[in-house]
Amino acid sequence: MALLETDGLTKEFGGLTALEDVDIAVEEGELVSLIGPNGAGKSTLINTITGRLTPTRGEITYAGTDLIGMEPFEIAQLGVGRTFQTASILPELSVRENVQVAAFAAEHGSFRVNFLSRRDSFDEVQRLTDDILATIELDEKAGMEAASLPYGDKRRLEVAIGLATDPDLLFMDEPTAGMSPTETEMTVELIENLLAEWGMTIFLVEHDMDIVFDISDRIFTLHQGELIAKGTPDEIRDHPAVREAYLGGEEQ
Amino acid sequence: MTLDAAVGFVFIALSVASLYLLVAIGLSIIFGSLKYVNMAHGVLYLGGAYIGLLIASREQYGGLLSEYGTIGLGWGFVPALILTPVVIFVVGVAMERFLAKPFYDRDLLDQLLVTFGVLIAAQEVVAIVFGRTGTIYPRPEWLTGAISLPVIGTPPGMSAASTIRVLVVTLTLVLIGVIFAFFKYTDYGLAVRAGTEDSEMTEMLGIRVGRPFLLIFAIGAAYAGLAGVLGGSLFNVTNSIGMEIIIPSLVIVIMGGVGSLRGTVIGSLLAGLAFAVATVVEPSMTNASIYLLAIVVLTIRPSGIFPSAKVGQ
Amino acid sequence: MSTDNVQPDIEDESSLLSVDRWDRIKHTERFIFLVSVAFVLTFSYLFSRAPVISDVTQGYHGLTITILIWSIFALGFNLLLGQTGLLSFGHAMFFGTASYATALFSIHVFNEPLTIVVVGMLSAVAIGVVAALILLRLHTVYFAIVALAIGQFLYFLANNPLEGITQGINGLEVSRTPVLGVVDLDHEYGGILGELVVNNLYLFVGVFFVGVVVFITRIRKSPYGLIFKAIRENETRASFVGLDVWRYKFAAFLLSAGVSGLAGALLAVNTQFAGVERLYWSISGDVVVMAVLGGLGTLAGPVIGTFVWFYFKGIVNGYPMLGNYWLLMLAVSFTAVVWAYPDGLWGMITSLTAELREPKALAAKVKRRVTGGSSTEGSAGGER
Repeated sequence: MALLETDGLTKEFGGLTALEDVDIAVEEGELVSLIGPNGAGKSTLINTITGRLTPTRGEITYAGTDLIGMEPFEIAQLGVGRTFQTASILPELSVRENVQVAAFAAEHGSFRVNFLSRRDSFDEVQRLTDDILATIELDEKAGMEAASLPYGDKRRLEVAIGLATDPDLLFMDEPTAGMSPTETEMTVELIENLLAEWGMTIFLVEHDMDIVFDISDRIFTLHQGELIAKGTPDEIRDHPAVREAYLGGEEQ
Repeated sequence: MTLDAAVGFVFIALSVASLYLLVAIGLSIIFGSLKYVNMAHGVLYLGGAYIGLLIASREQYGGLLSEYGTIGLGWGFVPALILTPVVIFVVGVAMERFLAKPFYDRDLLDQLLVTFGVLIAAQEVVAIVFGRTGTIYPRPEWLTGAISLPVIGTPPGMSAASTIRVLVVTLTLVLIGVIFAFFKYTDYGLAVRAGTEDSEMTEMLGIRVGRPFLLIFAIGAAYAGLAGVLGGSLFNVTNSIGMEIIIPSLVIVIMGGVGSLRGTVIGSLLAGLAFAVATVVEPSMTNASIYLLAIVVLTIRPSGIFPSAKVGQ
Repeated sequence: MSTDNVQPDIEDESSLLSVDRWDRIKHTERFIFLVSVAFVLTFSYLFSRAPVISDVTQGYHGLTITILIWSIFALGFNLLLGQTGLLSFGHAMFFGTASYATALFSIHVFNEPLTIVVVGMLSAVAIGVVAALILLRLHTVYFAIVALAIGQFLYFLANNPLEGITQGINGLEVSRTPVLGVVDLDHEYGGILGELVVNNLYLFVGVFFVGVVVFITRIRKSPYGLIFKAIRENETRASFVGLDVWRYKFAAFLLSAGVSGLAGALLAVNTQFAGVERLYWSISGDVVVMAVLGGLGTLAGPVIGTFVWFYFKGIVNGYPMLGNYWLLMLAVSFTAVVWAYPDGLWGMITSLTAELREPKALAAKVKRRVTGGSSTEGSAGGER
């Protein structure tokens, strides 16, 4: 059984159809990429699966559980994590605290009555936080105020927060956008590490075609809300519909 | 209930509703179009009441002005009614440029807090200058008493309602009509509506959004100023009336649904209705009625009666 | 706000009296407890009786009790706004309701200070539950204004329809009884203790003050403190990492209601009176000013804001020329803080002391300002 499955997923906004009849399946341990021109509906798809939007029609199943009607935090607690396109961090908190919040959610669940316990007394949370900070290589800057970080570091912090929720399936929405070549390389390495060492399943939305074709197991192509192609990188590379959608060339 | 009482009842409800509406409409448009919440709108009402008073009559004030004897132009009620909105219009322009504009990009909470501070400060300035005891407008002869109104379908065909209340309601009807016409038929109104939808796009299309917004802000201000004159003659004039009117007005705007003019009108009517119903059924609840109404409405529909999708904070 | 957020947690090998060590100590719970106890013990004395100082401040003992009580209110309010980012213009609903509940319980059921204070506090929490269910579905501005509406509703309700119970503007009297039947609140001390605290009433309120400070400190240091801040900073993100934001807001709301209610209850005991004006919007507005002016999001900020407020209201008010302007000055200061100094008075104090701690850097900065150009002599400014 696939880890994540959508069946006839449709999302309409009044008269506008953002997603139409999207069927995808993601196997455990895979890295799938979602590509498509701007406005194709990529963010809508992620938002619908992670609970931010309610689909008009269709089904979404994760590890056998029906996701439709669930709140975003409930879906996150099931093991579905995400990183946002814009660095959606907590500005006035420190780097460490940013990650810690997610770690608390991962270790303690969606709500706990523990306002009389000191938060540094929870070892498992501290350990998870330290691990993530080390993996993302932000441990040197752990005490800094998040708002004062350079943009590339903010993006990495964004990834760290998503990781700290201890997900089994991680949605990454354009993680390398705005990053320098060095940072991009680090991110790609991180993603490969997550697959190999952490056993994560990754759903990647990316515009950088080099990365997409390099590391993906499979690629989905979205165009005007419809899934026009799905397959291995080789299959997609030669796919006529994909070529057409991108107006006969590679994207940036 | 006799017909007279019924008509009187209707006009009580309508005049209360009108006063709230004149203040709320400015608030609502500004909140909906500019995404700016302005508690200092109460300053415009307060200013209108006092400036109107200064124009209309000669009064002995307290505070810093107490040693100057009676002050005022003494020109009468109608000149005050006409000139005050003009003055407050100018004040509105200044308010938009100096208070509102710096906060357009800032957090709504900051806007609320800073305009709250400005309102309190303004009320204190008024108290210091004019003193803390209240006054009322001396009402001209023709405005006191009641007038006969034709009422359809009943013998003898006439009924009486307090003149001032009729004036308030009539003026409000006209002025609200003007606003709706403005939005529907003028270029400026169109620009404001477009700007509400997408100000960036509108700017790129070459329409300078700044000016129409400024205009609509100032018009809202003038309305509040006029309401100050009317309210001053219906109720009272003290330094705290700014806050006293802004609280129910804000509640009405929210109850009606931010960004919806229809909502503000309906909200004001409902508030007036609640007020009047309470006066008849349970007088002790008149003051509480509008708040109870708002709480009930917003519990059922958290976005207000006519929620506007554009203002999703 | 920033000083309380970023806590250095990496082990530091610096010397015993280093600045970093001080930074860590001042955030520990024990230190905060000691400081608040010391504050309570010395506040009244310094403010109203100490030679020289009290001549400048012209304070009086009664005012210090009021300040302590309102500080509790401001701290409770801050829990919702400063920590969690939710502004309510209706906190008088907790303050006033608790005051009434305290009085009513003392009159109709049982009159003992501790009991009635607890009853008052619980009644505020009860109101909080109902209000939360209405308010937590609303967006920011709606939340703030509908909170105000609820407060006003209760005010007018208490004023008129429920006049039979509340005695309307006349209010209710709370007669004074000994704490636990034993300790007389009006008992005045002699000697040093008398010099410091004067009477048991001050101690009674002072104990609650310290208790609230410790309680709130513990909350800030708990996961809740972190999660509240996360909700304030980025609510969407908080929910996407798996937190049930609604329930945490609910918790923040109830905690805020309880502490605010505690203040209202204490005031009823202190003044032996509970009146309808404690439900009026100006009470809500006052506490907003106190918390914001002092400095949101910190522990000392609301207390300082409360002190400044009452200093102006109680003492500056009496000055010959300036007296009439006390509220205007506060309103202008408040507006200025919101406009340009979001860290409030306490924030200004802490950043000033931080700058003073680096005298060379400060000197370089002043030099640069004075000479007007970029000074290459500012090598000392790079020191850390």
